[in-house]
Formats: sequence, structure tokens, C-alpha cells
Amino acid sequence: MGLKEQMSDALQLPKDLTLGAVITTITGKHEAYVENYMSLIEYTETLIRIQARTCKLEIHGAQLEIAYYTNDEMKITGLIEEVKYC
Amino acid sequence: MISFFRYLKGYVRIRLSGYSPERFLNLCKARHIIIWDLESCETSYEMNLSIRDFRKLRPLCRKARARVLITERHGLPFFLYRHRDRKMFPVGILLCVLFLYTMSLFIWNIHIEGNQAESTDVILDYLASEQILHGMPKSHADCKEIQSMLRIHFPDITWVSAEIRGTRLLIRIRENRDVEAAKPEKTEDTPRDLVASRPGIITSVLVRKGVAQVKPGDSVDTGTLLVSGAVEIRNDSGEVTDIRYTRADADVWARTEYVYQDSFPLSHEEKHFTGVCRYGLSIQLGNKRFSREPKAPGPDFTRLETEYQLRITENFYLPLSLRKIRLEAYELYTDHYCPSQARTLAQANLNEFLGNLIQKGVQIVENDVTIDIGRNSCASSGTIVVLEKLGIPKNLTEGATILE
Repeated sequence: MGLKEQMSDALQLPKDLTLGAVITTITGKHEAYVENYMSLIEYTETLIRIQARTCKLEIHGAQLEIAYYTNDEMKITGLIEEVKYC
Repeated sequence: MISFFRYLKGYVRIRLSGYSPERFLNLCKARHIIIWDLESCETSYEMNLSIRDFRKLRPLCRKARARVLITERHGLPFFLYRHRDRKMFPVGILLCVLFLYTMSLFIWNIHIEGNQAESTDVILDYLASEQILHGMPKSHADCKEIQSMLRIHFPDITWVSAEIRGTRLLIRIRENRDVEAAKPEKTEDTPRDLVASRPGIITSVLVRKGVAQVKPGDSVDTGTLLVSGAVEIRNDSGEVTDIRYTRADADVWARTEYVYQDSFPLSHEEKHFTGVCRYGLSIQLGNKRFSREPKAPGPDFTRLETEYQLRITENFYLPLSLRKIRLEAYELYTDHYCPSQARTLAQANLNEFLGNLIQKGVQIVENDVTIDIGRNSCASSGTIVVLEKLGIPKNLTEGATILE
């Protein structure tokens, strides 16, 4: 655990601000909200790859659609099968 | 809600294809361009964005080497542009709204409820004389004034409420129903006699006030004094010392006779409607009348006019009325009553006469009316003996004192 993480733990600061961690909220199988990301790397019907500050996020599924795509947040709908951090 | 604002501002659906669509998306994100309903279809992407953001796309397209094609246009700005040649349409809507608003400034219905003794027409006429009319501006109607006006003009209205609701003037009325019952009965105190109204034979006399001048068995003529209102006061030696006048009151029953005679010819004319009808229409506008008279359907016809006055709401009659004219042709021919028909008709006439008598409060004692049917006419005649109250009041000369 790095120094930054230890400090933010000790000060009880939210990690998405201090570490730039990506926030993924998944509701059921059909909806996912992604916050605190940098850019979209790849987008097809079966795969969405998102570049976050510390890692890449991959969402595998079928009929994936981006309901909205703004500076802060994106909403993904479709059948989500797998979420991968790499 | 969001979609409503999107519609108001207008948005386009674009198809994005080219070298690196993902880069294009990231550039959009960096420039705070909001994208929604992003869909990937094989080699291209489709997405929605607002008109304002669409104008910022050109440099991004160059940078990302992407090609943008508009596939659909949505929203109010496009709708207005499409219908730019129909300028009168919104003008019409505006005029309609304006018309409705203007019309809502007037009173179109005066509704009166709770009135029993005073008819609605009487109240409306009075209100019209005070310039409270259908079609008057709402601002000119002062409810409190209407209330007090009605209370003053109609004394038997004990409570009234006037209220303007929408374009209706509601007037609720409570009347004092005891007014007539509370009126003291007028007692006439002029002295009077009772005299016979018809000739007859007296059967019974019951005097409540006055002096009886007849006794049962007497026969009287029209105008004979039955009960006198003049009461003689005598002293001990039987001399008249004073005359007091009173209001004679008595039940004098007598046996009287009515002579009944009725005859009608056996041949009579009867209308036979042929069923041929002609219709016409006339329109009355104010005092002018425009009509389309129907042709006469035959030499003899009846004319029936039915008038329909146009009105708005329940009491607002317009000075426009429609009149339907119906002419129906008939033929006249003479018919003869057969004896049984004639007898029935004569009997019906007699029964009507007797019915009228009974309604007057007489008792029928004897009835010897005979019906004769001749060759050309039917005659019924005879006398009807009845028991009835004689005695009609006849006022005495004024200045007489009243005996209490």
C-alpha cells in the first residue's frame, strides 16, 4: 500500500479524489455508470474499453450502448457479461 | 423533463465514420459536448447531440479525420423551419386564445335557483331593467349591489346570494313562504242581506246571523229576500226601538229545476287528412322575417307553425328564431251519425252538463231528460231537479251600524 493510499485512509478522504480511482456502479445486468474516467479507447457492441487514471476498464457484453457520454459520467446499457480491470 | 428541453432546443442524430471514432468521442468529451444514445453499428457510430454542439464539430472532425452525416433532425427549431410557410397557423392559435380570453370577460349565463313565488322571467326582467343582462362585462356586475337590489325590490326574498363563477352569474334565492299564510284574512264587515239566486222551493234554513224571512216549503223567486241583515230591537211592549244591521250568514237549501235542452244535426262535416304535407321554413332575425312559404298542398289545409328560439345557455335567448311551417291537406265530407253514435254523443253532452252542476256543489235529485233521435237531428230535453244552496249576498245601504 503506497503512501498516498495510507494517507487518504488515515484522513478518511474519498479515494476517487485523492487517487483518481474509477467509480463503477452496476445496477443489475443491464445498467452501468462509470465516473472519473479519462477517455474511451474502444467501443463496439460487445466491448467497451475505458482508460481511467490508474487502470483500464473493460466491459464485455452484448448490444452495448452508451446512453450518454459527458465529461464526468457515462451510462452504459445493454447486457453486461464481464467487467475487467487491467 | 430533460427530453422536453432537448426537444425545445432541437437536436440531430449523426452517423460518425472514419479513421478513429473513439478519438472523436474523447475530443467531444474534452470540449464538454454532451452525447447521448450512442450506438455502434459495425463500422460507424450513431449518436444524438444538440444543435449548438453540432456547430462546434467541424474542427473536431478534421482533427479525428472522422466523417459526420446527419441522419435525423428532431425538435422545435426544425419543426418551425419546416412550417415556416404556415405563418397564419400560429396567428390563428393566438387569435383563438385571445378570443377565448375576451369572451371570458363577459357574463353569458344568469342562473337563478331557489325561486318559487317569483318566476325566473320576472327576476330576469327586473335585472334587465337594472342593466344586468346577458353579455354584460363581468367587471360591471357588482354582486353585493345585485343582492341588495333584489332584496329591496322583492320583499318576500329573505336571503339572496349573487356570485360570479367563470362566465356564469349564479343567483341563489330563499323566499319567505309564510308571507301568504301570515296575511290576515280580510273580514268584510259591511252589512248585507241574503237573496235568492234562482227560483225554487226552500227545503231547509240554517241561520247563523240575521233574521230568516222564509221557512221550508216556501217557494221563492229570483231576488226574494231570504235572510235579512236588519235586526229589529224591540222593547218589552213589542215596539221596534232600534234597527241594527248585521252581515247575514245562513245556509238556505232549496229544490230548484234546471231545464236542459240540446240538439245537434245528424249530418256533420268531418275532416279527413289526406296525408299530403308541405313544409316550409322561416327565420326571424330581430323584426325581420325571411321565409320560404310552402305551396298549398290542396284547396283545404291546416297550418301548423312551430317556433324554436335559439339560445345560448339556459336563459340567454338570441333574437333569432326558426319557424317550421307545416301544411297538411284535408278533404271535407259529410257524415251521418248512426242512432247509437248520436245517443252516445247526446249522453256525453248531458254528462258534461251534470258534471258542471255537481262541481258547483249541488245534489241531483231527479233527472228526466229524454233523448229523441229524429230523421235529421238528435234532440235531448227535460228537467233536472236539484238541491242547491240559494242565497247570494246583497249589500245593505251604507251608514248602518253593525250588531256585534
